[in-house]
Amino acid sequence: MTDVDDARPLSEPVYRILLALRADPLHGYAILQAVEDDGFTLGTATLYTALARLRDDGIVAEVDPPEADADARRRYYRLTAAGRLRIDAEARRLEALLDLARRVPGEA
Amino acid sequence: MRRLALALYRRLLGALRPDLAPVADELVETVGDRLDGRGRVGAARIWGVEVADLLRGGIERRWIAWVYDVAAARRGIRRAPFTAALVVASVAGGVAALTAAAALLAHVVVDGLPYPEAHRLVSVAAQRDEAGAGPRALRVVEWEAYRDAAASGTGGVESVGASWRWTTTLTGAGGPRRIPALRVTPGWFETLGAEPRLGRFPGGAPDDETEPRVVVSWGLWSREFGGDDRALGRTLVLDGTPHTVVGVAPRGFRPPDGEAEVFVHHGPGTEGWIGRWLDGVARVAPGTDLEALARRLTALNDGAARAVGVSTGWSAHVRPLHGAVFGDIEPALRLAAAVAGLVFLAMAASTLGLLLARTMRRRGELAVRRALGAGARHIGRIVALEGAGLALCGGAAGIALGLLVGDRVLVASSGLVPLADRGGVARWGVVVGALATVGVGLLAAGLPAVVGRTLAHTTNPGRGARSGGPGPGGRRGRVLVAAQLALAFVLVATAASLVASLRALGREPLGFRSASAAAVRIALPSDRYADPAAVVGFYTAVGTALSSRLDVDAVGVGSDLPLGGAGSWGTAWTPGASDDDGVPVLQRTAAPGWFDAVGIEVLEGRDFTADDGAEARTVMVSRTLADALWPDGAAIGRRMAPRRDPDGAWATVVGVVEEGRYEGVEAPGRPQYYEPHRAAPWTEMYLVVRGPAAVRDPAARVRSVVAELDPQVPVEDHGPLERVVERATAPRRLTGSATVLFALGAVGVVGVGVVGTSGLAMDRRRREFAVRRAVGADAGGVLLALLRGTGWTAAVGVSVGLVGLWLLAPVTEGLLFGVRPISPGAVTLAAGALAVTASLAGLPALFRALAADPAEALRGD
Repeated sequence: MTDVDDARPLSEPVYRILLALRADPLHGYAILQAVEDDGFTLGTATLYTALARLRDDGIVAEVDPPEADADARRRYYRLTAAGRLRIDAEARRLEALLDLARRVPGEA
Repeated sequence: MRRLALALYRRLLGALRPDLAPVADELVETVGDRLDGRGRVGAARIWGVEVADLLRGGIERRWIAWVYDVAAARRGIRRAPFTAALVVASVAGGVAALTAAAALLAHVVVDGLPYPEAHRLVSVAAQRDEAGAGPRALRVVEWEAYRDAAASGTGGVESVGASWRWTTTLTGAGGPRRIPALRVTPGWFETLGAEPRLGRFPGGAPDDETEPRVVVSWGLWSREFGGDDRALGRTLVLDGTPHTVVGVAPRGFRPPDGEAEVFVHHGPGTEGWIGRWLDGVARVAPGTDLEALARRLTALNDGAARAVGVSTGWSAHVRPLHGAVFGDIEPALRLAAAVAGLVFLAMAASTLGLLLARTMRRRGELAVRRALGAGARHIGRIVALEGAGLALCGGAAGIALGLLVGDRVLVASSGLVPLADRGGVARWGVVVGALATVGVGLLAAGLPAVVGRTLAHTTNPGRGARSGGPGPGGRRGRVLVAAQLALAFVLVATAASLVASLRALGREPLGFRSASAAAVRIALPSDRYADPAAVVGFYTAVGTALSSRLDVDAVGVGSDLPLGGAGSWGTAWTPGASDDDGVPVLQRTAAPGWFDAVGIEVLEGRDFTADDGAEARTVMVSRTLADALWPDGAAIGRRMAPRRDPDGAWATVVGVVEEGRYEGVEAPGRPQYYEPHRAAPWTEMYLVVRGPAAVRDPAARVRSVVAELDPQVPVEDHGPLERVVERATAPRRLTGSATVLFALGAVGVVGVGVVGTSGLAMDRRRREFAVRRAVGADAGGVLLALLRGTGWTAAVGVSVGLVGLWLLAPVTEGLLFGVRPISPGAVTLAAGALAVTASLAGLPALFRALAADPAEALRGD
C-alpha cells in the first residue's frame, strides 16, 4: 500500500487515468477514450504500464466486468479508497501550487 | 491490414516490453479498438503513435535498468579493490605488449614502403658466380644493359634506376656541413613513383649528361631556401663543386636505404661515373616471376661486359625491395609480436582466473539477489558489466602504455627500424589495442556471467556464502594455471636464450679493440686536394699535431672503420697463379699507426712506415688471406697483386694482421689486404684516436686541429668505437630487451593468475583441509597434500611449455647467436623462476586456508 499522505506529485497521465476512474469502473479502452475526451492523448502501452504500477501500489484494483459486457478479454479497473485519497491529495497540492502562482510578489 | 498491424505491434510489444506480457492480449485488443472505425490514414497515424509510445517506454525501461546495473557493477568492483586492481593491471600489461609489438610489425608488414604500388619494386644486385661472396652493387655496365632492356621492353622490367650513397659536404652560410646524399641515375625517381614537388627530376634535358644537377629534399629546400619557388636555378656547393638546383623532391619522400638531403644527377659523362658501384632498383609488371627475371637479366650481363671489356661471370640478384629494406628487422619484429601474443594469452587466462575466482566468492550474494527476485539474466548482466568495465579500463591504459612503449622503442632504435620516423604507428597501435581490448572484454564479461547465473540458480541463499557450491571446479583452475605457466615458461626460456645469445655475442672476437678509442671521418675537398702528396701531407700533419698536443697512445687513418661495411671487393693473385686461383678479397687503405689506433694486431712482420708506398709497392694482408695465398705459412716477403696481369707491379707483403670484422659482429672476417695510404691517397678517411684523449670529446679536439690546417674541411663525429659496436649489435639487443621485458611481464601475469586461481582452489578445498585438520593432520601434512596437487599442475605447464619452445625453435634459432633455442640452462632458469613466482603468489591463499577454523569450515558445508 502506498502512503497517500506523502503527497508525492503524480505525473499528468497518471492523474488523468485516476480522474477517469472516479465515477465507474472502466476497461482500458474506455479509460483511453475518457482521457482523450478531455483533450489528452495517451499511449496504450503507457496506460497499461501505469495501471500495473497503480495496481501494485493499491491505488486501483481489478473488478469483475459488468454482465452487460460479455467480452472476457477486458479487465475493469476501479479506484480504491486509497486511490480517492490520492486524487484529493494531488488536487490539494495543485491548488496550493495555483495559490502560490496567483499570489502577487510583495503582498502579505 | 488491421490484423497485420496488430501482429506487428504484438511482436514489438514482446521484444520491447516483456514486463507487459501478462496484459499483452488485453493491450493489443485495446490498440485494435483504437484503430477500429478510422480511415486508413487515421488508423496509420494511431498505429504510429502507439508504436512510438512502445519504443519510448522500452528505451526508458532499458536505460533505467542499465543505469541500475552499472551502479550495481560499480559497487561490486568497489567491494573488491584488490582483485579489480589486479585485473586492470593484468589487462593493461597484456594489451600494452600486444599494442606495441603488433603496431611495430604493422609498420613493416602493412605500411611497408612509402611508394606507389611498392609490391612491384625489386632490388637488383650482382653476384659473382664463383666467388660466393653474396650479392653486391651493380656495375655501370650492368645498369646500362638493364636500362636499355627496360627502354626496349625486352627484359621484363618496366623501368630501372640506381643510386650511390655517400656523405657530402654542403658549404653554405653556416660553414661546411656534412649531409647524407645520393647520386641517382635518370629513371630512379620515376621507378620509385615519385613526382617532383617543384621543377623536374634530371635525365630528360640534353645538358643533364654533363652539368652538375641536383634535386633537393623538401626539408633542405625549406631550410636553405625558405621554401621559395625561386630556388630553382640557384646553386648548392657540394664537396666544393657548384650544383644547379633543378628540382625539389616531394614532402616526406625518402630513399629506400635511409635519409638523403640532396640527390645529385649521376649518369654517363658525370664525374666518377665509370667504375661506380650502384644500388639498383626496378619496377616490374604485377606477378613477375623474379627468378625468371633474374635469369633474363643475367643473360644480358655477359654480353654487355664483353662489349666494354670488363670481367664476365656476374649473375643478376633480384629480390623484392620490401625484403631488401626490412629483411633485417622483420624477423625480430615478428618474434616480438609472437611473444607479445603469448603475453596477451597469458594475461587473458589470468584475467579469466581472477574473475572466475571473484564470481565464486560472490555466490552467496548472487543467490540472495536471486532469492529477492532478480532474474538470472539480470544477475549475469551485473557480473558481465563488472568484468567488461575492468577490461575496458585496463585496455585503455594498455593502449596508452603500448603506444608510449612503441614510440620509445622507435626512438631508441633510430636507424634500426627503416622508415621509423614517418609516423603512423599510433594508428595501428590503437586498432590492434582496441581489438585486443574488445576480445578481453568479451571474455571477461561472458564466462563469469554464465558462471554467475549458474551459481545464482543453484546456490542455497542461506548457506551460499559459506558453502563450496557448484560452478567452475578445481580442474578448470588448474588448467588455467597450467596454461599460464606454459606460456610464461616459453617466454622466460626464450628471454634467457636471447640474453645468453647477447653474452655470447659480447665475447665474440671482433679482431679489433673497441675500448678507449674514438673515430672521426675527414673529407678533403677533392678540388683543392687533387695532388696525392697534399692529401697524405694533410693527414700526416693532423696525426702529428694530435700526437704532440693530446694524451694519446696512437693515432691513425684508414679507409674503412671496423663494423662499417664490407668495402671494395677485388681478387688477389700471386705470381704464376692460374685463372682459378684468384682469391676474392676486400681492399683497404691504411696509414702508419692505423693498426695500433684501431687495435688490430700485427701478427707477423711490421706495420707500414712513412716510406711505404713511395717507390716499391708493399701491402699488409689479413691472416685468412695469407693462409689462402700461401698455405705454407710464410707470407712475409711474398708477392701478390689485385689484378690478373699486373704488368710487373707486384706488391710485397710486409706484414700479416688479424682479421678485423667490418661487415658485422657476427660476420666472420673475410680475406683482406691493405695498401699504404701513400700508394692509394684517398681523400675521405677515418681517423682513430686511442688513449685517454679518446674519452674526452675527441671530435672537438680533432676539429680544432683540422680547422687550424684548413677551416673548410668538415669533420664528422663517429664517436667511441664501443658505440660503433653497440650500434652493430642493436637489433639483437632490441629483440633481447623486448623479450626480457615481455618475459618479466609474463611472470607478473602468471603471479596475478596464480593469486586468483589459487584463491579459488583453496576456497574449494577448505572442507578437505578442515577434515584433514580435524582428523589430526598438522599444517605440514596439509601443505604436503597441497604441493602434490600443484606439483602436477606445474609439471603439466612446464611440459606444454617445452613443446611450445620446440615449436618456436625455428623462429628463435635465426635470432640467436652461439646458443641453441632449447638449452638446459634456459629451461632450468625458466622452471625455477616460475616455481618461485607461483609459490610466492599462492602463499596468501595457502595461509588463509591453513588459518581457517575446521569446525567453521565443516559447518559451512
